[in-house]
Amino acid sequence: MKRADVERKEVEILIVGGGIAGISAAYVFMKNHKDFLLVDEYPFIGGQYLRRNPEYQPKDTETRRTGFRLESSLEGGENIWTETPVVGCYKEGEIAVLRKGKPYIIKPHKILIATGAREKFLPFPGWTLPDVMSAGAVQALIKTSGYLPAKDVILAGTGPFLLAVAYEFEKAGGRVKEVAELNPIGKLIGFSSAIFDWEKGTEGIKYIAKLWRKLSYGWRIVEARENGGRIKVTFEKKGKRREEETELLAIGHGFAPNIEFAQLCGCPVAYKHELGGWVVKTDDELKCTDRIYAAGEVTGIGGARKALIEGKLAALTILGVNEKERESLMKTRRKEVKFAEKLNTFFSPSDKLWLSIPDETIICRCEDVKMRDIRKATEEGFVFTGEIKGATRVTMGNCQGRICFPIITEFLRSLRGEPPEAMSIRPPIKPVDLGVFTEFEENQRASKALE
Amino acid sequence: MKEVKINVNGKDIIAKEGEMLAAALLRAGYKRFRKSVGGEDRSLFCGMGICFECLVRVDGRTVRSCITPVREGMEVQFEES
Repeated sequence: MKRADVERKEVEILIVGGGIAGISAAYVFMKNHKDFLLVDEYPFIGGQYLRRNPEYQPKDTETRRTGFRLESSLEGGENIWTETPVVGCYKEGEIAVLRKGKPYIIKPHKILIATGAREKFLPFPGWTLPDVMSAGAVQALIKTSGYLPAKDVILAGTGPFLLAVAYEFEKAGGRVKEVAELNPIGKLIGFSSAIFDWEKGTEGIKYIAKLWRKLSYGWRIVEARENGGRIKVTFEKKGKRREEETELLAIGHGFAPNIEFAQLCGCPVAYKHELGGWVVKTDDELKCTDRIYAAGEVTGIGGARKALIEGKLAALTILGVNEKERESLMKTRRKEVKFAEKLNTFFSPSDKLWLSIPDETIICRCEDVKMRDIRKATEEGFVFTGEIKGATRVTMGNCQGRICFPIITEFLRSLRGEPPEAMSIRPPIKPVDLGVFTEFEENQRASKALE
Repeated sequence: MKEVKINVNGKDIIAKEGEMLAAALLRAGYKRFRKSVGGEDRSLFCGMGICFECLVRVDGRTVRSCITPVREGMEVQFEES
């Protein structure tokens, strides 16, 4: 048998994901002269939070300053592999990656999973139109590429992230027409005064000071339509409707952890509504299995400061050093998680909203599966995730359910009072050319045959 | 950022080196990246490599344009063409 062109590499510690948690851990390994490799599918490290752009580096908070410091001490290193998605994990704990298109099999002794999170959406008819994009996409275009995607924007959904993006949109020279927060203002004020946090609070106040005239509360989007090259948005609140027009509509309804790689590696996952949905389960020191650890958003949505702490904690746990420091990190981590739980619970669409997604709404953007199809499947008695998938084709497209499965999870949880079981995950976890995947498979077989 | 030339469906456009391809395409006025299964126009959506709405072909390979940095001389084709 021809041995396929796959390079193999042994390493003591593999870090998957170079966001805040990943670089926080990598920094500890670097300082301790450990043999590690960090892979990230983006062309830069720093993740969604830093979003590398030499011309755009606000250092307004302690967390951001620390992040940039870590990033600049690590980037360019030969053990930092960017544009390197992970595509598979084999039984023996060997990890298949594609470094700028070239296949490698990494054999690590320990793995730290820091795969971050993605945005979550409460869909409505028209959310698939060009000129409707995620709030995160708007931020990415501004921060990474220095490109303002429109002259004016309406941001809608829930959570403080919308404010951050609105603030950046105006700073970049655009006009924010409205930031529509789903949750009512009364609830919001009570919430903020109950859990005030100095760093996050001052950041919030900075945003609100700039944007307060544009904030609205309690309005949800009924639909978005294309109208002469612009977007017409219909909002609804307590039976009252209004229409607004905008060049760009940006939406976001919180975040969901990227657990797929962890699942593939056999890590246990659990559904925790207060932490953003499906999360990777760890112990207090962030250990998942014998050789696998997890840090950052993947253990529960909690932001950059939690990721910074967890990256360091996981790294020290892996090294088995600094017991005192680990204890204090565990303590601060527990505080961060508590704060995050309140935030995620508050800034979340209500069950009623998940249940009232109109029938004609596309849920699975890859396969154009509509809400009607999913309702029908549940009414016909399909219960398990696999059955609904079989009946409707949801989660079967290119994104492998990364956008639609959190929606379906929230819909079913709202309907039944409990979430469905997690999706089953099979390699490749990112679509790759079939030829490359066959090379991995053949290489695995050939190397096993040689042993 | 340094300016570079890339080719989109046979036409040269100016982009900034290192920016994401999706940004360069939007800046040049290309808004509709591909057709969905049901025939709808789709464009950049998540902007972070998750949703696969911004797929285009670059030098014969299908890529997510939102996480693909622009490089001098790259040949870009929209999936439907």
